[in-house]
Amino acid sequence: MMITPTSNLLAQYLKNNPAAAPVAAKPETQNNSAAVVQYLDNQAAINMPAVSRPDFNYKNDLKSLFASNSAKILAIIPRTFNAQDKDGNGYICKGETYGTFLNAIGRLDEVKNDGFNTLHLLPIHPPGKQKAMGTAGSLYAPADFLTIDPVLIDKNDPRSPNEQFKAFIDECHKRGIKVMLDLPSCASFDMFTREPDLMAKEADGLAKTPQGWNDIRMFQPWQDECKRTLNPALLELHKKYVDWCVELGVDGIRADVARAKPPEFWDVIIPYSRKLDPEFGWLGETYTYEDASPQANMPYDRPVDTWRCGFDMIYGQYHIFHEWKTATEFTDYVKDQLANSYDVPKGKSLLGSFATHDDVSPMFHGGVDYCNLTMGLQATLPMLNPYIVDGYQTGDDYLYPYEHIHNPVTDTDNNEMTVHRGKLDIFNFSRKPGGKNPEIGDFMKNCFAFKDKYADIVNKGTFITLDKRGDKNDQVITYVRHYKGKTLLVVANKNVNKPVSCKIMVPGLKPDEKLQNLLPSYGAESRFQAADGELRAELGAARVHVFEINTPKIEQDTRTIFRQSF
Amino acid sequence: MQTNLLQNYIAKSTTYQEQQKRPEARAVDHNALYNRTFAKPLPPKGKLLRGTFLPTAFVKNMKYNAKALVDGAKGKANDHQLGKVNDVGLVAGMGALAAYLFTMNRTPMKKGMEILGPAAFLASMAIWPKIAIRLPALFVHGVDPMQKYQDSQGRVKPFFQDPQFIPWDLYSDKIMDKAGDRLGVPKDMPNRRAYTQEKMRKVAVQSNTLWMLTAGPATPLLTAMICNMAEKPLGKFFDKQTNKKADELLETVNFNDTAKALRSTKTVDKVNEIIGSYIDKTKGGYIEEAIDERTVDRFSKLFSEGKLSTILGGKFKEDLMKDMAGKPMDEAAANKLRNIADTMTDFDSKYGVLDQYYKLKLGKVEESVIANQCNRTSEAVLDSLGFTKDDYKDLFTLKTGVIRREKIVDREAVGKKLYDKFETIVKDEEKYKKAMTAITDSLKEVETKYAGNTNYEKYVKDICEQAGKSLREQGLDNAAEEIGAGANSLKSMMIDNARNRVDSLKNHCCRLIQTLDFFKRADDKTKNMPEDIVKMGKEILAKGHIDGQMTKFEGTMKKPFDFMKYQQLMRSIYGVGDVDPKSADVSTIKLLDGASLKETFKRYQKEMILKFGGAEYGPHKQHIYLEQLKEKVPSLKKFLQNGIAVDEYITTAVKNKRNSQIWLKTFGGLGIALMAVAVVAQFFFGKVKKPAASQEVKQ
Repeated sequence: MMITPTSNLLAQYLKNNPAAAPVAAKPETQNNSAAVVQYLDNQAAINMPAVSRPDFNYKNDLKSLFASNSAKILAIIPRTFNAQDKDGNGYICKGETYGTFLNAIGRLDEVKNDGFNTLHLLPIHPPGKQKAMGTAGSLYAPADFLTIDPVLIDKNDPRSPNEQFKAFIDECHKRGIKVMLDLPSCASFDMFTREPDLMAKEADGLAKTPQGWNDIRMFQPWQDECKRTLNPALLELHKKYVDWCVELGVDGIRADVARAKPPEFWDVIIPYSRKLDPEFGWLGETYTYEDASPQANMPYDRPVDTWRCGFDMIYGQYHIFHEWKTATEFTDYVKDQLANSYDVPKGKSLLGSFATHDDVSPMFHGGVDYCNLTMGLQATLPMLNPYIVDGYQTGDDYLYPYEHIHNPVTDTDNNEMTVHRGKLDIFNFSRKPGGKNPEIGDFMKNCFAFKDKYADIVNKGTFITLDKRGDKNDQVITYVRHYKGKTLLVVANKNVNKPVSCKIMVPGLKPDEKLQNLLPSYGAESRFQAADGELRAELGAARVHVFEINTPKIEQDTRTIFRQSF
Repeated sequence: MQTNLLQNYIAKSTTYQEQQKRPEARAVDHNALYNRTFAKPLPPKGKLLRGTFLPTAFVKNMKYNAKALVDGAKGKANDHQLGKVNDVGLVAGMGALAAYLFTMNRTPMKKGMEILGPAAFLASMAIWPKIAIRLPALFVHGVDPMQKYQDSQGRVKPFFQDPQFIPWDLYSDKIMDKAGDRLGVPKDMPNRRAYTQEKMRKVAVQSNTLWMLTAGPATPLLTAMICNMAEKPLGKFFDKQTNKKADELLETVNFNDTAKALRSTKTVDKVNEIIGSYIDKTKGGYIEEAIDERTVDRFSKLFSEGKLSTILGGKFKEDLMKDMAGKPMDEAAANKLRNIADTMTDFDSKYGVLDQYYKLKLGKVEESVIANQCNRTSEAVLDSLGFTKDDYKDLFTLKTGVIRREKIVDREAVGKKLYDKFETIVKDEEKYKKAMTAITDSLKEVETKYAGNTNYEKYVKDICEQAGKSLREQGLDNAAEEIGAGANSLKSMMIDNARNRVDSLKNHCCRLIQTLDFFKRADDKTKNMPEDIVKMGKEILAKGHIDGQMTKFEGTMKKPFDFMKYQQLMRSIYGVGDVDPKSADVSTIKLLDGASLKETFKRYQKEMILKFGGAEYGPHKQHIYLEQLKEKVPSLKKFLQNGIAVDEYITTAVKNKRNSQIWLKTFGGLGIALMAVAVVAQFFFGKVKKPAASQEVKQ
C-alpha cells in the first residue's frame, strides 16, 4: 500500500490498534529503574509505527536467529549490490546503472538460493561531501542519519525513498531474509557543522576525529562523563533512528564501532528498540578486550560489556584467523568465548567474522582453498553465525583498477578515488562485487545446507578439542561437536601451503568407522584411516573435513568439554 | 515530512491529549535516563602497580625476561617481549664487556671497578628518573609519571609510555577525583575527569621528556659519583681480601698446595732431554762424549730460570764447570743433574709462593697491602692536620707550561702552611691528640698487619737453607752459598727486602710523630729550648731530606759547621740513651703508651742516632752515638731510616686531595644544578587550556 502525505494512516492504525493508556507517573522517590521503564513505555506508545503492515504474514525473529546461531548473513553495499558497470572500468559512471533498492530486488533470489537468511546493509545514508574520502563519499560518513542516499532511489519510480526502501525490505521478508541496517558510529564533517550539540570536541574546541579517518567526526555521548550522564540530543537522534528502522520494517541494527558509545548509551537504546520490536536484533562491531584504545579519540574495546548492555552478537576476533600461528591459538579463542558466555546474559553469539568489509579479501590469505577452509569452520563452530561479504561467493579480490586515480567527476570535494587495497570499496561508486571463482559460492551453499541439516549439533552441541600426536607445528585444527548422542568430527589443516600428517585421538572411534566427508572436496587430497580411538590423517593444505562418527559416549570419555550458555 | 505529519497527528490525537493533561504523566522524571543505574562497564582486567624507589624491576621481572629471551631466540616473541630482550641484551652486553675487561686487568681494585662501572651505570639509569623526575612530580603534582600497570595479559608496562594508549579506567573515579583536587581542577568543572586525565597525561609526557633530556648528562655524572663514593669502601674491601689472601698463603696447607700447583716438570724434562742426547739409542748406555761448556751453560740456565737467573745463574755455571765440564756423561753425572733439577724444581715452586706473598703484601705495585696502607696514612694525616678547602686552594700556583697553563702545588707554600698547622695543633690538646692518633693508628696497623712477616721469614729461611743443603750434597757449594748462606745470599736478600718495606713505612710514621712532638716541645716555653735549635730542628724534621742527613745538614747549620750545636740539635730531637725525659713530650709518651708504641718509637729514635751518627757515617765527626755498630750502615738503610720529608709527603697528599676536591666540586656541582633544573621544571608542567565555552557552530 502506497504511503502518501495525505493518508491518515495513523488514524487508521490507532483505530485498529488503540495506543495503550500511558502508565501514571509516580513521584521522584520511586525506584529509578521503574521510572525509566515508564518513560520508555510512553515513548514507545507515542512512537508506534504508523506505516502499513505488509499483507504477507511476517514476523521478525532476528534476535532469536542470532541467539540460536542460525543466522547466515550476507553483507552488501546497496549502491553497488546490483550496479551495472558496462564499460568494465571498475566503477559506475554516467550512463551506467547504480545499485538501488529496487534493482537490488533482482538479486534477492540469488541471495536466497545461496542459503542466506539475513542481509547486512552497509549504511544507506547520504555521505558527507566535505573533507570526504573517495568520489562518492564514505558510507560511514553520513550527512544525515534519518534520510536515504538519493543514489539508492530509482528516480523513475514514483515512490518516496522510504517507500522504495520499504519495498526492498518487504521483498526480503517475502523470501525469509531478515534485514539488518548498519548504524554509523560517527558523522561527516557536514553533519558536524550542522549539529554541534551532537558532536564531541577537544579542549580547544576542535572536533574530535578518530585517528586515521579524517572524513568523520566523533559523537559526544556524554553530557557529563564524570557523572556519567548521557547526551540527550544524541540519545534522541538514536531513538529516532530506531523508530525509523522499526517503522520501515528493518529487523535489526549493526552498530558500527559499538565502543564509540558507552554501555550506558546502548543500555537505553537497545531496550527501547525491544519495546517497539522484541525481536529487534543488535550486532555490535567489537573485537577483543583492550586495556586502552590504540586509536586516538576512540574508546577502548570491551566485548563483554557490549554483550552485557544488550547486543546479541559481536564481531570477535576471527578476522585474525590467518595471523594465529597455531591451531591451539584458534581453539583457545573458541573456548574463551564459550567461557565468556557464562558471564553475560544467555543467548549471546559471535559473528563469523573471518572476513569483513574492513579486512582484505580472503583470497589474499590462500585463495579458494583458504576461503573454503574458513567456510567449513564457520559451518561447524559453536556460538557463531556465518557471515559473508558480497563478492566472496565468487572470490572477489577487491582490487579496483581505478585505485587512487584522479577522477574529474566526483560527488564530493575529493577527486581522488580513494581505495583500501584489497578491501571492499566503500568510498566510490564501484562495480558490483564479483570474482572468477564461483566454486567458492558452491562450497558455501553446501556448508549452509550442512549447517541447516545438522543445526542441533552445530548450534547447540558441546565443543571438544581433541589431542593430537605428530603435529609438530600444531597446524591441525580438530574438534568434535556433540549433541544428544550425535557427533560431528571436524578436522582441518590451518596451513595453506603444506600438507600435514598427524594422529588424532578420538575417544570411542572404531577402526571400522565409515568416514564420509559431509562437505564437498576441494584442493589437495587428504587421506584418513580410522583406528581404535584414533584417526590417522594426512591433510591437504587448507583442507577441512567433517565426519559424522558414531561416538555417543565421547563426552564422558573426554577430559574437558565446552558448552555455550543457553 | 512524514515524521512531521506523524508528530502533528500524535499531538492532536485524543490519547496523547489525554496524556498531556495528566500532570502525573507529564511529571515523568526524564532525568531518570541520566541517573547511574544502567549497565556500567565492568572493572578492568589490568591493575596498577605500586612503585618503589629501589631499582628492583629487573630482578622482579627476571623470569619474564628469561622467557622473553627464549621466545626471542625461537622467533616467537611479541613486541613487549622484544622490548625486554633489548633490556636483557643491554645488561648482558655490558656484563660481557665488563667480564672481558675484568680479565684484562691485573689488580683487584681495577677488576672490581670494571664490574662496578657498568653496574653503577645501570643503577644510575634507574635511580636518576626516580629521584629527579618521579619524586618531584609526585611532590608538586601528585602524579607519578613512572606509574606502572599490569595489563590483561599479565605484562608489566609503564602507564604513560604511549600517550595514545593509556588505560585510564584503571584509575577509579574516587582516585581521579583526588587527583583532580591535587591538580587544582575546579570541582564543578564539567567532564572534570577528562580534564584531570589530560593534565596528568601532560605532566607525565613533560616529565618523561625531561627525563630524556637530562638522562644523557645525568647518567654519566651519577655513575661517576657512585663510582667515586664506592671507591673507598671497595678499596678497603679488596685490601682486606688481599691481606687475607696473602696471609692464607703462608698457612702450611695452603703453602704446600699452592707450591704443588706451581710445580712444573719443565726443568726436569729438559734436563732429561739433554741427558738423553748423551745416550746411545741403539745400543743403550752413554756415548763417549765429554760434557762441553755449552752444555754446562744450558744446565745452569735451566737450574736458575726466571727471576733467579741473575742471582744464581753464574754460581751454577761456576760449580758445574768445575765439576762436570770436560768429563763424559755417565750415570752418576746424570743422577746428579737430575737431583739438582729436582731440588731446583721444588725450590722454584716454593719460591713462587713466597713471591706471590711478597707481591700481595709488600710489593712495589699498585694495590699491594703496603701501598694501600701508605695511601690511607697520607689521607688520615691530612685530615687530622685540619687542612680546609681554602688551604688547598692557597697551595696551588699558576704555572705557564709549554702546552698550557696549569695550577701546580707549591712545595714552599706547603712547607709554610705545614708549619702553621703544626703550630696551631700543638697549642690545642684535642687537636694534637687527634693528629697523633691518626698517625699512631696507622703505625699500629702496620705493626699488626705485618706481624705475619715472621712467618714469611721462616719460610724463606727454611726453603733457602734446605735448597742450599741439597745443592751442597751435590757438590754445588757456590750455588748453595748463594741461596742459603751469607749476607748477600738470596735468603738474606728476601728477608731484608721484606723488612725494609715494613720498616720504611714504620719509620715514616715515626718521623711524623717525632716532628709533631718536637713542635709541641718547642712550643712549651718551660722547656727553654734555644731558638736556633728550635728553628733548625723544625726545619730538619719538616723538610730534611736524606742528602741533608748525609752531610749532617751542613746547609742548615751555621757556617762554619758547629759540631757542638749539631750534637745539641740531635739530642734535642732524639734524646740520649733509652730513657730521656727530654726526648718526647709527656702527652706524646702517654699517647704512645696507650697505643703500645712507646718501645717502637724509642727504637726509632735510637736507630736514628745510631745510623746517622759517628765519623764513619758522614763527612763530619762527633755525632753522638750510644754504642759501636759492628758494621757500616748501607746507604739504603739510611735512606729507609730517614723516611720521606714531611713537606714532600704532605705536598703529594695535598695534590691528590685537591684533585679529588676539584672533581667533586665540578661534577657534584653539575649534578646538583641538573637536579635543581629538573625539580624547578616541574612547577611549569601540566598546564592545560580549560575547555572552551560551548560555541555556536551552526552556519
